[in-house]
Amino acid sequence: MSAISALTRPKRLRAPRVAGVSGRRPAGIGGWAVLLILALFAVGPLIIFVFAAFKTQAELVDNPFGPPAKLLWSNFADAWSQAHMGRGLANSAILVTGTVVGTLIIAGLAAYAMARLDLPGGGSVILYLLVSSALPMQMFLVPLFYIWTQTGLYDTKLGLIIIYCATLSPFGTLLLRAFLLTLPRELEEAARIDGAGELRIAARVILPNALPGILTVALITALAAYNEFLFAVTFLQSDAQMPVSTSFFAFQQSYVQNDVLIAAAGLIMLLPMLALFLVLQRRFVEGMANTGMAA
Amino acid sequence: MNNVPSGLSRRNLLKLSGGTALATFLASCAGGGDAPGGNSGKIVVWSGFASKEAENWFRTNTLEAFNKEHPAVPAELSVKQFDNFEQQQQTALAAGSGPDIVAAAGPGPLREYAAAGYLLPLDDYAKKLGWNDRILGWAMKTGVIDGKLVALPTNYESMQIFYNPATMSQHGWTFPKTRAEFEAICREAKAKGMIPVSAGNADYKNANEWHVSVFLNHIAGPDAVRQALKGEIKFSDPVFVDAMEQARKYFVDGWWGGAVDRYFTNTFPQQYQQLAKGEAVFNITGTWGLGEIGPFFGKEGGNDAEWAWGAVPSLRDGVPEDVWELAVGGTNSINAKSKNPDAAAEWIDFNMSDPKRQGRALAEANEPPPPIAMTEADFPADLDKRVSSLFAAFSSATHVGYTTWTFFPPKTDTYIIEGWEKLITGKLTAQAYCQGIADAFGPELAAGVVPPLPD
Amino acid sequence: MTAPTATLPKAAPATRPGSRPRRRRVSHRTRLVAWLFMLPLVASNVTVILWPAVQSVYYSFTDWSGVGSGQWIGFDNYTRMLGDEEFKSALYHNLIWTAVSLVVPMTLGLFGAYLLSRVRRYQVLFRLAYFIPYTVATVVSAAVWQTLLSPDNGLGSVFGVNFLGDQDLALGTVAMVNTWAFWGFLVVIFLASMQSVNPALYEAAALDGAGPFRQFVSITLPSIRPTLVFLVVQTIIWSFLAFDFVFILTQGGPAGATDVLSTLLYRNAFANLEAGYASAIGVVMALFTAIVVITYQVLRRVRKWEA
Repeated sequence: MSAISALTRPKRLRAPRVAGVSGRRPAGIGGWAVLLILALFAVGPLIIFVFAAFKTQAELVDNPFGPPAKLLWSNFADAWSQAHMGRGLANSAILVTGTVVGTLIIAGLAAYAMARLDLPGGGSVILYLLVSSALPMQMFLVPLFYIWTQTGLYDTKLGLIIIYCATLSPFGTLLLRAFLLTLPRELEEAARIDGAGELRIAARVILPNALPGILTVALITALAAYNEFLFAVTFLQSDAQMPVSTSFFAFQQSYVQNDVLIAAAGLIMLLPMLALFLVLQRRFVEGMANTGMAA
Repeated sequence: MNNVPSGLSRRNLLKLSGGTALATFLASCAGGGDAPGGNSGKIVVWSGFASKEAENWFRTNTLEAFNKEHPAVPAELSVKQFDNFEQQQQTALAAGSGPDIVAAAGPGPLREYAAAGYLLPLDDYAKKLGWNDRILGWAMKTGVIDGKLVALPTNYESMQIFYNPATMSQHGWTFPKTRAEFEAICREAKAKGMIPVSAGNADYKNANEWHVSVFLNHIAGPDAVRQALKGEIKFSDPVFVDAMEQARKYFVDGWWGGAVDRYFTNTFPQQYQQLAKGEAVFNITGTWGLGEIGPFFGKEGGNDAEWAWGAVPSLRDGVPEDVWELAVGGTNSINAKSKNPDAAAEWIDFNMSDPKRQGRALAEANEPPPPIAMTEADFPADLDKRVSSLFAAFSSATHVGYTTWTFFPPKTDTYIIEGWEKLITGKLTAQAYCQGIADAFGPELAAGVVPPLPD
Repeated sequence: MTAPTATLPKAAPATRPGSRPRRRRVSHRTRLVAWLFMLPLVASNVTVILWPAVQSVYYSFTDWSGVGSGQWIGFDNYTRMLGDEEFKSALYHNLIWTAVSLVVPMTLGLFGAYLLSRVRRYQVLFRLAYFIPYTVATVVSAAVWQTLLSPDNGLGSVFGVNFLGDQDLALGTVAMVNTWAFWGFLVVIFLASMQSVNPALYEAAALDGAGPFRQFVSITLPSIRPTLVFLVVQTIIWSFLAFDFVFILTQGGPAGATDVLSTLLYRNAFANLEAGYASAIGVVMALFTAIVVITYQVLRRVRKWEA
């Protein structure tokens, strides 16, 4: 079922979240001040970066922190073409979509098996997944590269998607499993008694209820795939395949260094994920709350 | 015009040094794939270009000209980006594919390529096409690995100083020729709050090797370097220790880059800008800088400054005043899997011939000429005199020096780059640094992997 | 948060609706189906992680350069590591990185979340602001901070220091950039955890006259302990894998001042052509994280954090 119909589906088991906790004194002036300082620490550098994206090179030297005298929108057009952002974003869209779908399938099935089908040896599997999501991936580049050239996966988006799915699915599995554990078993027992198959139960009963968890994994996976560059730089060679992370990195490293264009390109690069996060953030927080991470 | 992509210098290629090194390594462990060139009736040439103009120049004056002369097996151009050119090529080679013409940014990777069986020996072609008569002997030798010619040099490089004449005259300085003159200017400039030598490795960590090469050849002197490379003296001998101590002081006193910490964060554009604005007196870089410095001066740079070049002065008594480092910045080889090796050899030959076309390449597309004998008349009249005079100066050098990236074996060069940062940050003494170079060099000398020296 | 049960303090959350008894009654068929469901995970994991890992372990016992073939040299790579100053200094930098990451982002995350949990208005806005850096790609974050810290016209010139070029400051600076990028992630998770703390506990404490800080120490911290421990463990693991920001911002420089194990591994493998030795470094890193993970798992079992 599609994410959109899922979003509009009213069938949710959760009570609305309590934002502030009643009965407690709210934060005082000091609390608000700290919150504001922290917010400034988080977004301040980005605001200065946004300012830079609208300046001329000379203006940036004279006025590195302040707002621009006037908005130089042409920086974005220049950065767009010089850093090959269009091509990069299109490739990234494919990579991210493929990775998210693949990871959700892999992690969803595995998490379901572990949380709901009492997978024999599940405890060891958890341990293995924890360890395998905590290994230095640089170490694997060489053997992987060999396999990828042998199998023709090298320099293909599919090859990179497989790597991303494999490296991101252990974490996704653990997160989804923890999420599934919080759903009452009674949900699927009824369906099982009615003789529904496991796949059908998973798709019709569990999936809709696990949506916040699924969206959380989707968001984390999308962020990771979109922002990754070490594997991308290694396993893709053709310019035509390059995602936006490597396009941006190449642009930043290129000889003609232009700080304002780098800022503009950086902004172009971060906007899609920012938008995705803004759309999904409520579900994301719910998902986080319901998983083992926040248990 | 060479098949090495326009502007493809060691620096351009190694800019993503991590990624490139990774590819070098990864390339060696893969196999399989299609034969190069695809269809048999053509040769595939990969090239990257600094600008659309450079690409157009190449298409018209090299590609089309070649194909007119060789209609049977024409060359086909595939445009690549500098940033991952070598990585792309190495991984393709590893998969048993890749272009017919294998281009490298200098002789560095040749031994590895040859050992992996990527390169076709060229000795027969050299004899048939008369390369030995045409190409400068020292440069030709850099393509010889274990007695076999596997690559031809496509351009050559040296080190020089850029400066801004207006800055010099404003402070009443004349371009230095000796250590005393050079140090006097640096001292005075530093006292005035200027940067004596704009320098930095933020964009390219291996820029360390440019400076060390200059110090080795202009402080220790080319004779000492040559003797050490031949194993007659050691890199831990006092002549080198003193040279590195002198160089260390230059850095610690803030003469290079303004301060040691600034050296690590100064970018190349910053360095040229400092020169143009009169904030820095000198900039020490290689001949590749000719293709970079322009946009920072005059109208394009938003100022009315001009640049000029000068030879790196003698930095120790007894070292000649006109030492020019030699470096090969690009090579061409034939892919061992090429289906049309004869045509590939013709392509290489084509790029080594017609000095007038090479001269025009320099004038019109900023393309450094191949190391073939060229006369003043080969350069077109409209070539920037500063460019032609620089090439004339170092082509006719009486004293040559040895750059680490052309004449030093790989592990020694790596140590020189890594250890240099430890020297200038006080983690190593000059004595220890030189001992480290000697320790890295000894086994490589014994293993016979030291590149051949010019006669 | 599944309705009522979720609002209970989760320090001992053994209350999951009816699961245990049914476990034993799983048929053979269901077991087979369970492993069938695992198939995609197993297949991708074996190809991309397990098999390369096994190969790396093998390489670590050879002098393989990465070109051609290597010789079996037993534990030579491991003994060499003991005397390698670069390895020791990289390990030391990882320990510093870990300490910084456990103190700074943890503190910011805990206090940020605690303060946020006490406000209703603008909570979403603050949460968004804190999390945004986490959505920014490393390459972009690096560009943001490179510009911001510039010694010529950035904070570096304001403070008269060169954050990334000074060998005494570089490591701390890179670690701070890393902190900036991920502390907001901690806030969101801590916040989610804090919101499932039973409000009655706070009310009782407030009646006893406990101030916000006392409440934080005596109620919040114990209640979110499993989350806290989980994130501490994750932070330790992430700290030992730290790579991206070092690789982009300083490449281990100046003069090795920011070298960490992963950049040392990378340089040995791909620049120095010491693939065998690099693999050994990787194996040691993996062993370390495995120990941390297993300790955590054992702790979980013993303390019964999850049934």
